[in-house]
Amino acid sequence: MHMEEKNDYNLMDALEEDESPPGSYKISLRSVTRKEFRIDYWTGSFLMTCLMYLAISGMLLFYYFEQGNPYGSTQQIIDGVYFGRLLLTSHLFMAYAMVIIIYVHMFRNYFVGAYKGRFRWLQWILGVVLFILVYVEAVLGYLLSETYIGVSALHVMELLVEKSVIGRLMPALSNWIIALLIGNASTASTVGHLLALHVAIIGGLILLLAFLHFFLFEKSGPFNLSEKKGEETVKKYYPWYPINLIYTVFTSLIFIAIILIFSAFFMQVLPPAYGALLYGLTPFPDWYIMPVYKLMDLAGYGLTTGGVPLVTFFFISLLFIPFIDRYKSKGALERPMITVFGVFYIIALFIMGLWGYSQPGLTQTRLLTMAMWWGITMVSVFTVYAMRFAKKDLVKNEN
Amino acid sequence: MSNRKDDQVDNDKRKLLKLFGLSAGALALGSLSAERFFVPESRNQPVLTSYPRAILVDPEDNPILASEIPYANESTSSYPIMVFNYPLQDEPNILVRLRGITIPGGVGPNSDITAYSGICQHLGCIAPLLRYNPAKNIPFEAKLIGYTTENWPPYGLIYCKCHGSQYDPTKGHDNLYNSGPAPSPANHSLPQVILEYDSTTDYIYATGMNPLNAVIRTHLWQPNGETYGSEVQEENLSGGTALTLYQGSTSLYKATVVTSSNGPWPGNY
Amino acid sequence: MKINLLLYIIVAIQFVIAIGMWYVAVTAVSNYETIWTVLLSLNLILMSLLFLVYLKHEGVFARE
Repeated sequence: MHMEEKNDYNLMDALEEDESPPGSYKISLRSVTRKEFRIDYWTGSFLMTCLMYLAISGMLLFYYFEQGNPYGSTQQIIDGVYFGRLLLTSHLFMAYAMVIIIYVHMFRNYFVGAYKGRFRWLQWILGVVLFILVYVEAVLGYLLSETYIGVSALHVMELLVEKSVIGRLMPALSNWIIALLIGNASTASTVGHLLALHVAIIGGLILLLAFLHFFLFEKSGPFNLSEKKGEETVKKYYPWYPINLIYTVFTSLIFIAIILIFSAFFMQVLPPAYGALLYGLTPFPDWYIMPVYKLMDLAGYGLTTGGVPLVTFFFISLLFIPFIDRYKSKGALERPMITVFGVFYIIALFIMGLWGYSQPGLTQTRLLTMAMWWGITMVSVFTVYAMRFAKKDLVKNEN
Repeated sequence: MSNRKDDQVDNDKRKLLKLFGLSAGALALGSLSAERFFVPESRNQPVLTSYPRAILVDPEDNPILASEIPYANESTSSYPIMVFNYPLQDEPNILVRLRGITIPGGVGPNSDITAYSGICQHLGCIAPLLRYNPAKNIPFEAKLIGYTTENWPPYGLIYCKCHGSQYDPTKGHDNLYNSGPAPSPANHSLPQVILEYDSTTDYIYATGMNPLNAVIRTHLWQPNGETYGSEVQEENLSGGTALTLYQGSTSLYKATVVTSSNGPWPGNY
Repeated sequence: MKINLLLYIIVAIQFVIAIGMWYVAVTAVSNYETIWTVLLSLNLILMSLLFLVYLKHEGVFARE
């Protein structure tokens, strides 16, 4: 029987010193096996690269961003500062890349069951929190230049809080949350708060949690993807320094190079400023908000089950996955119900996003909503179970 | 730990490491070419093309009258510090009026009103660390370096408390004073403001800086560039913010005169 | 491991690219940002190639 690792809920164990496998250096980070040199194993390191690049390019942008003149100074960065256009564009594209890779990272670890064993349950929870924080950070960054779409988004955020359950039942709390965002709502106060949140507060939180997340990764040890029995002994460990370090730097450099090439050929321009008279222009959120944008148009099943509760349910279900998943094995097809949810989420995200582009701002009927959700559910269940039965047949025929 | 069973040096690995270093060096060298990012194009560019014409006003925007400016003579023991910003917002100047003597470059009915840069030409200390100390008021720091009632000049000195630079306000643009008991660490005279007096209204206007003086200390373009010459005007007019216009005028600026002691126009500069 | 002539050439090209980056930045030709960025990306990829060679030698990419 494949030996499975149990979740370790005693966090004091994380502070114990590691036993290193033979043949490895004892320099802080753990060694890796040859099996771990697959590109999908290192999505986390790509995220760290994104974070470093965003932090550094953000610091450089901070030189020229003027809090009292947000749109003008951003325009000046694009027009008047040497390499300013490149800096801003690469900052934007790296942020987009970070959001994409967060999805890749999350779904990859979801499907292989990498939240199982030792401290990985906590790693997963921190990861979901990081997901939310990165989204918040991205939105905050977009709001900084006070474009017409940024200010529209800000108003939407304020009103969502005011009209939510918090706003209706505890208006003082919703008022406090909004004040965190915009202060006394004057332009100076708003930009000041957004800047502090984006640069220091949320950014700092992300850095802190990312390092905690990584620390737990180190403590939890290698996640053996192989299901083969008798594959317990591993032949060779590669030390972190220099092999693994060079591997991660090498992949990160190529990653940065690719993003830079994209930035070079798709230099961005600022959307029009807030207050510009624009006729016939529907404000569109950025692509990563599109699924949520369209989700708000859905009618739900009644009793406020549309929009915001759906997003909340999405995050809560993700947070509790390590405890909901009772399957003993790790493979995607050996945990079919979990995989069904994962496939459902992916399909739903794509459909919501694309639908949002084609029919923005149009609310949907309850019937349509139900038809859509049930349709996607059927597709997910059928495809996953079909693959599972096919694999079982294959394995049975092999033996 | 690496085993030391053979002390052979892996030369190939060394060469490879050196190659890595060179590669990183080439990358760093190339990336340094973006250094221009840090120097804005507006650096060392004059904010105005010529010296602004500014009327001296009090903090309520009323033009000050020359006859109201307090004067000092050979028996004054207390004199207010009067400061206004000219030609840019961060360039304070000390207003002085001395009775009984004609100041070269001075204006007013008796040619006794003038203003000198309030930024010490030594290391840039500003008013009130740099202030006019009249005849009967030798500052404590000056006494420490040997000034007594015998060698303190008859009209006093503009004395900088930071490091003891001394300037003689009676001398106009050539005010560097070195005849005291201790040498003055400054190398140049305080730049003198060119004032203009309108006898019909009793108003005073600031119209420029004396071209015979060096650059206002904190506006040098290069560390050793204390030149006298045509570049002085451009340097004086760069590295700061322009003054505000006076009451809706498009060409007349205003320089607000303030004082922090006994004087008639209180406020902050 | 054997140091190929190729590795030296890679580093030499990197230096040439670095000088090219300086030229583009100082003269600020039209569209200098795009050219500079492409050169920087090339530089990054070349450095990664060096690392790739080293990792291959250490057996990271070999099949079991």
